[in-house]
Amino acid sequence: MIIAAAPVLSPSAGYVMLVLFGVLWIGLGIWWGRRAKSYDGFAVAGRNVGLALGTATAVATWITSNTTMLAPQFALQWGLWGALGYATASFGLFAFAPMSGRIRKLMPTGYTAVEFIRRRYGMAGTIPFLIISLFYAIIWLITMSMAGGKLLFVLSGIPYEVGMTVVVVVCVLYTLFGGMYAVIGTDFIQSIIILVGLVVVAVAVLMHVDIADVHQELSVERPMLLSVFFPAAIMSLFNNMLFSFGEIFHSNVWWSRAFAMREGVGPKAYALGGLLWLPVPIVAGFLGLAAPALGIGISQPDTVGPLVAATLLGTGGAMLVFVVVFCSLASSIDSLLAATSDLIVNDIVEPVLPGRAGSQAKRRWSAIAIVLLGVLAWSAALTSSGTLAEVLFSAGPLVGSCIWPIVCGLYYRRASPLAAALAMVFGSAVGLTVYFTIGWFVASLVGAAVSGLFFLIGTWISPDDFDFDSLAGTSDELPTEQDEFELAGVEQG
Amino acid sequence: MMFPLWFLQLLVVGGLVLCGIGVLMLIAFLIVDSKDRQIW
Amino acid sequence: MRICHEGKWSCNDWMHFPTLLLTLLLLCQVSPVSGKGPSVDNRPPATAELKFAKTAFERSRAGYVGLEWNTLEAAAEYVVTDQRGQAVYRGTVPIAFVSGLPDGQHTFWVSATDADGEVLAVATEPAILNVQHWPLSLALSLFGVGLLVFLTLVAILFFGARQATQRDRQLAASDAAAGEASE
Repeated sequence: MIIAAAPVLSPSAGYVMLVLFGVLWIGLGIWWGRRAKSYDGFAVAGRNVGLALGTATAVATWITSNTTMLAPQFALQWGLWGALGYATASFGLFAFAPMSGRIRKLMPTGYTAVEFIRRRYGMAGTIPFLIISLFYAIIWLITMSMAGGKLLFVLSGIPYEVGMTVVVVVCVLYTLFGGMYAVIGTDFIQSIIILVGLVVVAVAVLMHVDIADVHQELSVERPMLLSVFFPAAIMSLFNNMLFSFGEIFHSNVWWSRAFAMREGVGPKAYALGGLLWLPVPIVAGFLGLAAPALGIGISQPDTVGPLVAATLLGTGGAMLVFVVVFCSLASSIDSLLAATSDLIVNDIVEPVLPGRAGSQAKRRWSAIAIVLLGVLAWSAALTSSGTLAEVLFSAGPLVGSCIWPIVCGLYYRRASPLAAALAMVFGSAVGLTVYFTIGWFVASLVGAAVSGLFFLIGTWISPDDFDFDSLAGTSDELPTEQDEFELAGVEQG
Repeated sequence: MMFPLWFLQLLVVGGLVLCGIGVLMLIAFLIVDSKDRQIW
Repeated sequence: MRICHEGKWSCNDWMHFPTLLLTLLLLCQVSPVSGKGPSVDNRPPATAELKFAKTAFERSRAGYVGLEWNTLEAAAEYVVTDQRGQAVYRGTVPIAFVSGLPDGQHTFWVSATDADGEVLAVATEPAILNVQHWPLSLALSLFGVGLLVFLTLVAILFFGARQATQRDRQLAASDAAAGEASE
């Protein structure tokens, strides 16, 4: 059965949708921004986010455009194992659930992951961690911006420069106005849209073919995709899982949410978020696997998802895909902007300046940081040739090396600055070497393993006896009119 | 050795059901949170 | 997550030229179909050639490859067949992504058919791909090492969290006791 490729969205339709959603999102940013007047409001949404929004933000932020566009590609390259392997990235959310509770408990007035590392491990831990954090965050931000331009071009023919600029500008604006409130609020809407969109397209597929047809077609045409023993997929399973553990454990995107959620909400929100995220790569992957059975010729695996939707559902399907992709992009870009600006304000600007910074000053610096990050992402995305995405993959061993310092730092008194520094430095160095000499499929695994080894050695050589209560120390913020807490004396270092 | 058909069916149907439950759950939580004025 | 790296199929290099081509071709589908009736003889000269852009590839370790070939004006569809005679691609875009191939040598031919279903041209040279999956022993060893690291992490997290909860409970209990004692 031959199905001709249905028309993809026309540029004018694309522009209309882009403007519509852009205006809507910016409007929401301005509306919710009324709450984001203080720095606490702006950076951590008043530390009172409930379960609904908490869960939604965990889901939406972890669904990037990669989840919707790459999962079908993974399934087509590495078969069922590819989709399953992708789904194991949800384990990072599950693992972070108890950690989020611990983080909020230990640092009730904290803002960032780097702040934790600074107080826990001092400069020895902070320097490698800050470098890794900034590297990962900025490159991710740039590659997401690039993905935005490319995807809008593929889906609707909107020129790359225009699409990318609009996506970046919209995200910068609503994050600027609404801070964490806007980021989390839009995440709720985005998560619903993405989940519903996926279900609609998958149901449309099932109305055309049986799962049995899909299985049959694959076993004849692409047998390895159904193989239980697909070597490339099996060997990289834990490598990819550890990459995602590293991403979640170290990144301020997730820590800032832990600080934003009301006490007790974090663990539940992250656990549920993981559960809701789990089926997404599987359903998206299924769209890719079903394409052969649907008679859809596969030219480019990463556009299979949209192609299937557009073929089966026509213009409506194309518009749905457009919206889903826009949502998955925006939900990640806004989080990166917000979390990285927090990092810049709290852990680079503030420690350097003399005296304590007031809430309003920090709010202003955050705004400046967001704009600067937006400009950086935009200009890099404009000029980058596309090899930048390769650079991001090298972050696997880097973030993988942060796993032990974070986990052990949160729970074990003996974890010491030396251990953390050795773990991150050697884990990254060896992991990166493996990445460039052997391959990506073991680099994160090696980085994490070597890091663990050196962490153990460092703890053995010079164990610490850390007082966790010292982390609950003080916020460096001057009291605002909303601040009910009295600041205790500030402890430096 | 290939993954059997029933496994693929389990994954797909299970995945779809979980997505659907997820949407309902999120909306339900929002309603509960808004009743207690505890959205954020 | 972004983990697409194998060989040349990394996320972004992928998207450039073929994306442009694909989009242009898809956009052509959008324009109204007119003037393509059989009244005009659009048959290409008999010497129309169909050629793969690349006929030799690096050894594939995961059983997939992207095949590209030139366009033919009169072609309504392209079909790529493998050495079994099985059609592995059928479509209007001159790019085919073939995957899920088992170990062994795979030979691909592409043919172009016109709107009436008649074969216009067949590729002069087939594309040959040698698939040699990673040894299963290596894959399972790496899987095993990964499993070990993963389980260690889970254990550390589990025991750490449990210890912390117990400590918190003890503290809460002793606080409560102290509170009572002071009354």
